[in-house]
Amino acid sequence: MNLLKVELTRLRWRRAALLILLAAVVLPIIFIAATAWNTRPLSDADIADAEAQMEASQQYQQQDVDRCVKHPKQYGMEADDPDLEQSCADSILYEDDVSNYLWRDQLSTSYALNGPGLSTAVFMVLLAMILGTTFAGADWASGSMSNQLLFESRRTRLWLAKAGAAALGGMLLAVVGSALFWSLYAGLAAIRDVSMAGLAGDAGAMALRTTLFAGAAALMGFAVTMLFRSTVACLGLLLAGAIGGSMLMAVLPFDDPERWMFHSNAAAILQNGYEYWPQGDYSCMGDCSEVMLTLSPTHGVVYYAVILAVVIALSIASFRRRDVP
Amino acid sequence: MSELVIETEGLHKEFRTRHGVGVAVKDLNLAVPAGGVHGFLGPNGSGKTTTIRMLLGLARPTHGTMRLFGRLVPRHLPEVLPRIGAVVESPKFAPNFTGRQNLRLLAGTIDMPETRVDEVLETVSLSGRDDDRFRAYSLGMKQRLAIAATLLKEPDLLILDEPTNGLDPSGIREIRETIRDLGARGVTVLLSSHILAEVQQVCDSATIIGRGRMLASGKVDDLIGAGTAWRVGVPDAEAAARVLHDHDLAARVTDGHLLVETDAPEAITRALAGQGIFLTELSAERADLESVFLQLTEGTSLDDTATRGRTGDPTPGGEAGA
Repeated sequence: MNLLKVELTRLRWRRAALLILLAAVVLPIIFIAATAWNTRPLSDADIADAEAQMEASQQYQQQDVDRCVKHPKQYGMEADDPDLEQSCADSILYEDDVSNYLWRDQLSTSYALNGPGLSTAVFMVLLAMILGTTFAGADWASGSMSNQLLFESRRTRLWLAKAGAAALGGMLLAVVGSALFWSLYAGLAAIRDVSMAGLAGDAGAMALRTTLFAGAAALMGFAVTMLFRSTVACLGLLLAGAIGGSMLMAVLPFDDPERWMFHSNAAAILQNGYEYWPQGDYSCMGDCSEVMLTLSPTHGVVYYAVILAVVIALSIASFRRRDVP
Repeated sequence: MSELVIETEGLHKEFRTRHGVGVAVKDLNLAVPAGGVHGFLGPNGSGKTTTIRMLLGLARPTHGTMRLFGRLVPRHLPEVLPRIGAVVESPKFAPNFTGRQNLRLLAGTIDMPETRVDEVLETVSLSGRDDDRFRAYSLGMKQRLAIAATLLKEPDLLILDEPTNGLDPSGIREIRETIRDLGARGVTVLLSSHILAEVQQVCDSATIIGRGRMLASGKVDDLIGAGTAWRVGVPDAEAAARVLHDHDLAARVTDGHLLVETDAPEAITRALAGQGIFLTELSAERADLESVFLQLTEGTSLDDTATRGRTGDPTPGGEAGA
C-alpha cells in the first residue's frame, strides 16, 4: 500500500501526466463547444435561406415537368396519354416542406451517446493509454528504474504498485473528462430548454464503462511499455496494432472478421453493444436491423480481458527475468 | 577471519553479442570483510559494474553464488537490501523532479520520514539546491544527490561505483572524506574505481579484476608490497641477477638496473660483494597501486613469487594471474 502511494505521488508529479489530465479537461470543452455550434437554434436567416432553396428546387421541378411534356418518351411516358401533364407532374413533383432544407442535429440523449459522448469516451480511453505508457516510459528513459530497484528489489511488487497507479490515474482521468462533458451537456440542454429524458442513467452508465475501460487501457499501455521498455516502441506498436490489427483480421480466414477487430470490441464496451453489417450477401429494405449483427458488451470485455491478461503475464515475466540497465 | 559482508563463489556472467557469447565476469570469487573501505579496481570493461549489478539484483548471474551479510542473494536480497546503499554507474533520477522530490520518493519506498531527506541533503551539502530540478544539477551535484540517496537507509554496506566521476578536485575531496568518515564509523564501503590514487588513499583493502577475472586481492599495503623492492645499480645487471638468484633473492632486470624484492637490503650487498660486484646505486623502490595495477591488467608478467607476495588476505580461489 505504501508503495502504491509512492507511485501515485510519482504519477502526480509527472509533468506529462498533468498535461494529459489537462487534455482530458480541454477535449470535453471542445466537444461541447462543437456540439453547441452544430445544434444551434435556427435563425431567421437560416429559414430565409431554406425557403430560397425550396423555391429554387420547385422551379427546377417545374422545368422538369415541362421537359417531360415535350419529350415524354425520355421520361417513360406515352405521348398520346390524355393526362400527360398530370402524369409528368405526378412522377416528378413531390410534396416539399421548408423543414427538408433546415436539417440540423438536435440536442438529444441519443445524439449525445452516439456523437460527442462517444468521442469523449474514445479520447479518454486513448489518453489513459498514453498516460500508462509515459508513466512507465519515463522510468526507463531516465534509467531511474534501477535506482528504484535498489530500494525495492521485489520486482513483481514494484510492477504491481506502478500498474495500480497507472490504472487509477487512467480511471481518474476518465472520471474527470466524462463528468465534465456530461455536466456541460446537461447544462447546454438546460440553457436551450431541451428535455433530456433518461440522460442521467444512460450518461452515467457510459461514463462508468468509459472509466473502467480507461483504467484497463492505462494498464495495457503500462504493461506494454514495461515489456518493451520504451514509450516510442509502445506507442508505435499500439498504433500499428490499431490499424494493422483490423486489416489483419480482415485478411485472415474468419467467417466474421469484424467480431475480432479492436475497434468493434471497443465500441461494444463503450456503447453497450455494437451493430455491424454482415459479410457476404444479404438484402433488406427499410428496417435492416434483423440483418445486422450485434457484438455484446460481454464479448468486448472478454476479448480485451484476455489480451490484457496475456500482455500483463508477459510484462511481469519479462520484468522479473531481464537485467535492468 | 572477520565476517564477510560480500562473498561470491564462481560468479559468472555471460551476455549475447552479435558475434556470439561474451563473458563479462568469469568465475569470480570475491570476499569483502566487514568494516573499512574496500577498493574494487579494474580497467573499463573489466566486469566491476556487472559484478555490482549482480550483487544488487539488477542483473542475473549465468551461474555462481553470491552472499551479502551471509545471506544468499538474489533470493534473500529483500531482507538485506535495507542495510545496503548503492550508486551504480552514473546517478539515475527522474530529470524533471527536484532533488528533494527524487529523495522523497525513495524515502517513501522504505518508509523513511521526510526529516531523513533533510538530514541527508544537509550531509551532502545540497540543502540550498534541493528544489532545483535534477536535470539542472551539475555532474558533481548529481553525484552528491546519489550519495544522499544511499544514506537514506543508514546503511551497513555502501557500494559506490565510480563515485567521483566528473567531480572537480574539491568535490572529489568531499566525497573522499565522506567515504573515509563512513568507513571509520563502521560502514563497510565497496569502492569501485579506476582512479588508483583514490583507492590507494582511501581504501584499506582492494580487489583487482581484469577481463572479468580476479587478478589480486588483499590489503592495499600488501598489494603494493610497501618498501620491499630495491633498485640496484651494477655494471653488469644480468650477471648480478644470476648471483642474487643463487642467494635465493628475487631479482629482475629493468632498464639496465636490478629490481630486487627483499626486506633485507644488506643481503644484496653481501651477496654481490662476495662475487666482486660492487654497487653504483641502492635505493628503495616503493611500488604504488598504479604500477601493480598496470602490471596485472596489461598482462605485464609478474613472476609467481612476486604475485603470491602481492596477494594478501587470502580470497577463496583468488589466486593471482590472469
